[in-house]
Amino acid sequence: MTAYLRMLVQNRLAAIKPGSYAKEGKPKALAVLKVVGFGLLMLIAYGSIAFLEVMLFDLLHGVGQGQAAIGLALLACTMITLLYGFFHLNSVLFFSRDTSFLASLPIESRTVLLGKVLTVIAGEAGISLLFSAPFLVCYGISISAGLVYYLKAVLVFLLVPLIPLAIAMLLSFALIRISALWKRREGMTTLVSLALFVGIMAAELSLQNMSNEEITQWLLSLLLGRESLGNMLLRNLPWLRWANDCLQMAGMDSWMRLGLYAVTSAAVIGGLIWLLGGGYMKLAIRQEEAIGQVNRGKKRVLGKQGERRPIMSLTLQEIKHVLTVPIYATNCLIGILMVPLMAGVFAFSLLQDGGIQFIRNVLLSATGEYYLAILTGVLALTGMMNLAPSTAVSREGTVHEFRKTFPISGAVQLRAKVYMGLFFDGILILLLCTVLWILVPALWLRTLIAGVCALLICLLMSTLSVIIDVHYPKLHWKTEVEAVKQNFMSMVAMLLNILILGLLFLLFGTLMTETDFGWYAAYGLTMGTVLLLTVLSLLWLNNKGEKSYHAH
Amino acid sequence: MITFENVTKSYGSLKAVDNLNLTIEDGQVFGFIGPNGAGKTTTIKLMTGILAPDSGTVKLDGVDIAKEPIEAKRRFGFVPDQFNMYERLTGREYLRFMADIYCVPLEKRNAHIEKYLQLFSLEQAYDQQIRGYSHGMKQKLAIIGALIHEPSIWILDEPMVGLDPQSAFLLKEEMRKHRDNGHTVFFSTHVLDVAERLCDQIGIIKQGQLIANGTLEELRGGQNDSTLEELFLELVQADDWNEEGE
Repeated sequence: MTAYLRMLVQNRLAAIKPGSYAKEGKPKALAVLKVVGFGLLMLIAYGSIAFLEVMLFDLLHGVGQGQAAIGLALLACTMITLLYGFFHLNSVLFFSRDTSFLASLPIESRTVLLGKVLTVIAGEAGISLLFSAPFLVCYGISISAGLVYYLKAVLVFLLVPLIPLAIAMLLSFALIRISALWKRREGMTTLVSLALFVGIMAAELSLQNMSNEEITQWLLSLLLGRESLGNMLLRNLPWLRWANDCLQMAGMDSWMRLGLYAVTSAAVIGGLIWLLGGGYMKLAIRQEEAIGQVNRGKKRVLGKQGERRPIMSLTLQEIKHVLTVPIYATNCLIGILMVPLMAGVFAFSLLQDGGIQFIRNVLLSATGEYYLAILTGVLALTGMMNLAPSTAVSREGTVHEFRKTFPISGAVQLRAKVYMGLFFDGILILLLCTVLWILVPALWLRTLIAGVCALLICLLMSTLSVIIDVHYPKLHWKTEVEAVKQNFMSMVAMLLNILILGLLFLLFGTLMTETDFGWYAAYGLTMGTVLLLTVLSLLWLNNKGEKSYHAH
Repeated sequence: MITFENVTKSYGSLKAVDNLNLTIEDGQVFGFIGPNGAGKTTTIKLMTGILAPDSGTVKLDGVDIAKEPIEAKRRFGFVPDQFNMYERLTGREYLRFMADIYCVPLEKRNAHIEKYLQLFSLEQAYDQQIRGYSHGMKQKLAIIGALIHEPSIWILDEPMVGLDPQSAFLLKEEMRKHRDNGHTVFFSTHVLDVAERLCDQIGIIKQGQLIANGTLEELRGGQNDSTLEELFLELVQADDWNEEGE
């Protein structure tokens, strides 16, 4: 057992060792410099998040609810782990390529499951700790906390992922068992994964949903100082309340809460590993062998071959590649699904409260200009969150070399990847626009303009994402998870897209407030800038991108 | 025709291909042999445009692959040592994709696919996902894909690995047919018996350098009873002794 766990640790450490990125024939120092550069980028990104957290803490502290920051951090970490941990765990448990090899080794099924779950926990615990650190430090300073507080805080946040990951593991096992009943198993896995994602979000929102009476009662309690905002946030999640209390109490009580929280969390995930571990390898092997079952039933269908232009064939292949590999579909598309999902859940909750008419009135009463600007920004969010183009070259993996032998220029191959990204963005933009056309038909033209402009912004983002990926592709991966989930540059691409969207917003705001251009001119100039940037980035892709595609 | 002129490729201080000069005429089956790590795969990567040489030129039918890569790549069909294409495609989808990439007209591709599916007994697996195929089936599919545009040059990297005897026989027959049609076949192999019986010209590479090149008779140099295996071992070891002596 220890040998297997040691191997897993060594494997993870080797992946983050700067020297391991050195290319043959190139100095190691260059690889180290690259890692330092990436580190700085990450630091900037983390700094921005920390800055936002400090601002939020100041706001809460200002109204006497500083301690709510801890509750907020606990809730946010739990949600993040539940949403992203599910896809991570599902990929590691049932879609990694080491299943057959592990099955041949004299290791118990439970040990394999334990090892895999521990690696996921390690990653998620690190993220939780990093995310919550600014809140914890701010609160610690505000109460002049000693070393014991920080020690407890670290323990609490290292343990936060345990229960959400236990839930994710249960869902993952259920999903693989259920999808086994269908012939199109992988399509089913993707669909059910996405449905689970919606379900988790809806459940989380309904947990936080309160009736008007409850809200009044809580507000009254808050004003009278009888209850804290933190407790209100965690009222349906008892283990998180213990963790929250432990950090706000002192003495024996505090340690008892910590003990209760730690034992409960460990018992839940440990118990689940013990319960499911025995049959894990069997299920994982069944999942791996699924293709044999699917193929056995497939006989040749007589029909003619179609004919397509190379760019069309490449684009369709790129789209299909994302859709048919569950790890790619769930990891790449979940971000862009967030916008319509949030809108859908929001609309659903409004329907329940009869608030759809209210929203319609708000949209109609808003001046058309604001509607157009805000909608363009919201629709462009789909492009910002899309990981499909920012991992498109990396996902080629070993196929990359073979693709270089095609009589097709690298520029065309890269353009197909840009179009693929735009296709997914376009589908969701169209979906959202259709809903708005039904909801507020009077604003159809502005909806249409916003949709087209958002698509242009998405084209820019998609192109930039492919540019980053083609310059720093992660081609040497063993499992598909590494190509998308553990691809640092895709995060950089997302950050760049956030920056672009922020700068465009700033430009539009400056043109509106600091010049006499007027609204339409400001909007037109902003979109003109987007067009110019898109043309420039496409030219870059055609020249430098092409060279880089062949150089790797 | 394939021409290498003073081609060199290095990885840091290691010269994977060292000043390679080689010409393979039309209507020839060329076997490229050498020990592991000798530079066979690097040479193939240089002639297929996967890698660019540090110096020298590679020409396929007179087209320089560095200067006119697209035109040069139309001239050959390539079968890699490992089938690395998208394995979630079905055989049909893969061949359609390859035909689209090489702009093969509809009628031509249909006739071609039909012929090779029958030849390699892949009709039943045509609509199945590739990742369910055996290694040999994947290899056969890669061969059909490589020949779909009827290239004048056919390049194969270790094509015999994993093929059953019947499929290996069929592949050798196809290579001969390709040669008989006046085209060129370039393949790397470790199976010396195959090279001996199939090749019109044989090149032996060691540590990036072409240490022997010619017909089997020329390689024998008068020792008529030597097998290719004996010649290969003799050449490779002689070269080792020379190096030690130096």
